[in-house]
Amino acid sequence: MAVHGDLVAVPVDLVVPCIELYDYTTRTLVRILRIKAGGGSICFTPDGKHVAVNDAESIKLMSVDGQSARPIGEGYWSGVAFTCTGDVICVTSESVSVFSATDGMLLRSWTAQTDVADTDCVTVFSDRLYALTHGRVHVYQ
Amino acid sequence: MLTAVDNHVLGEFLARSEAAPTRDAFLCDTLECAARFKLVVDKMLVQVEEYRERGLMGVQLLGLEREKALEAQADLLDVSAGQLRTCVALGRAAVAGGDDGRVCEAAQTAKAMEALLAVPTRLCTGTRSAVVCALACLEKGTRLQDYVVDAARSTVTGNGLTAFANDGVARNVICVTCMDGDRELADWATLADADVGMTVNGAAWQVASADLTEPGVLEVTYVVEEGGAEEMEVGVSLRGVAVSGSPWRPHAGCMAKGVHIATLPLARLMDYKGLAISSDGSLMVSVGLGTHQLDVYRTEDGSYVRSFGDRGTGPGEFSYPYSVCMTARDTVLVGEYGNNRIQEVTLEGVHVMFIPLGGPPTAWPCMETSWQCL
Repeated sequence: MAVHGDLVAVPVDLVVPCIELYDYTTRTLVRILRIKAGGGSICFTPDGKHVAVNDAESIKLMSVDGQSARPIGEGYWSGVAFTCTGDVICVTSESVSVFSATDGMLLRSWTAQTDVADTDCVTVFSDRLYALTHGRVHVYQ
Repeated sequence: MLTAVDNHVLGEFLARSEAAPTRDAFLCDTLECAARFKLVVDKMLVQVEEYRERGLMGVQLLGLEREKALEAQADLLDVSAGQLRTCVALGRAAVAGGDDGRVCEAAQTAKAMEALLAVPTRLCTGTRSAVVCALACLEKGTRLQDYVVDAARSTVTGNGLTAFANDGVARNVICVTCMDGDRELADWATLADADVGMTVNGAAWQVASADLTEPGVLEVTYVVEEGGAEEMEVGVSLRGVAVSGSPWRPHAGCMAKGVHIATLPLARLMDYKGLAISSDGSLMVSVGLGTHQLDVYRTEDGSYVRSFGDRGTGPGEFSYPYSVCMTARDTVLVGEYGNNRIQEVTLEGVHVMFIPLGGPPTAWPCMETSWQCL
């Protein structure tokens, strides 16, 4: 789940995997964005115009108006977040990678702590990445 | 000593892969051989330790290892084509079916392959995606062997940090990650500055420093002009062998280095869902699916602050909360699986409002032509 302004994005992984977008003020469903699978982790871009969500094949960067979507970072990712500069952070059981949101290019990657296993609970505050798994929060800078 | 064994057996199964009649057979061959090879090496290591404990001298030890190496080769040659095909079928079915248990089983094999053959992590990141990557290589008709050759047991995995020093120049750092575990690291530990070379836009470039900053990671620092080109073709070489060729861009953003700076153990639970940070950065919140509560901790040291909520359907009560996020008003949105709703609460646990989930959709866009509307 993620929020930006009045828009709340909720990943739903039931019969049809999708992202439900709700209006915070009116508390109503405004749009559904379909994804292929997964959707355990979701976040808004800093400008609120896109959401990034993990599916089985990549991180999908989708405009909130439903008009465009493109993959970032080929492969399976369990968690996703954005840096303060708008780059896409992708987390797996073994590594943390940062991709350019503009062209999808891998900017940098580092080995994760050994028990950062398939966490989809990642969040960024200021210049730090917080990854939650197994009762621990790992902090990266 | 084991490196020689490694090279010998590795060469053996690469030769076998050349002779494989189909691409499937090649992939299976690679996976299966790598796994079997790892088992053999593991057994050898155990035996070597046993011999050492018994006080056998070096010459005897070398002789025994050579004997074991011959056994290892014999083991590899015993792999049947049927077993190899089964291996690929297992991986494919697991990935296609989303069966995590079988994916993990296949991934264990792929993991052994990745470690031994040094497939670059930027191509195969994560245990499960290692299988996906291997299969993708297969589907594209790309031989894994190509990656082995290209990777040269090392690869540049990231570019980072443009820090502006007082003298008005930018220092860029390239991290070169060792891809072959402790063996390569031990080799790198002997690296002299002269062993590391680099180019920028094809021209030789001065290395400011090269340091092993953590196990398996070499940081190469170089100086560029402030305000220079945003994109540069940067290459790094180790003892004259190029380990990169991709364009890397200077980056001055946050988390440039990916340094792990802290582990904060959360006292109350091992299985939290969701994580959110308060607007001033001082508090972090998460929810317990089984406790039906929201817990608050200090971000500075991970110390416990308070919990609130109880199982129920009323205001301030939760039922199987599974995710959290922080609003701009510094309130917490809690997704509740059991109540099929989002509940907004303050950091002190005061109920603000509900958003019911599952209303009728107003739009169902198909995102792009390559996607299937399910």
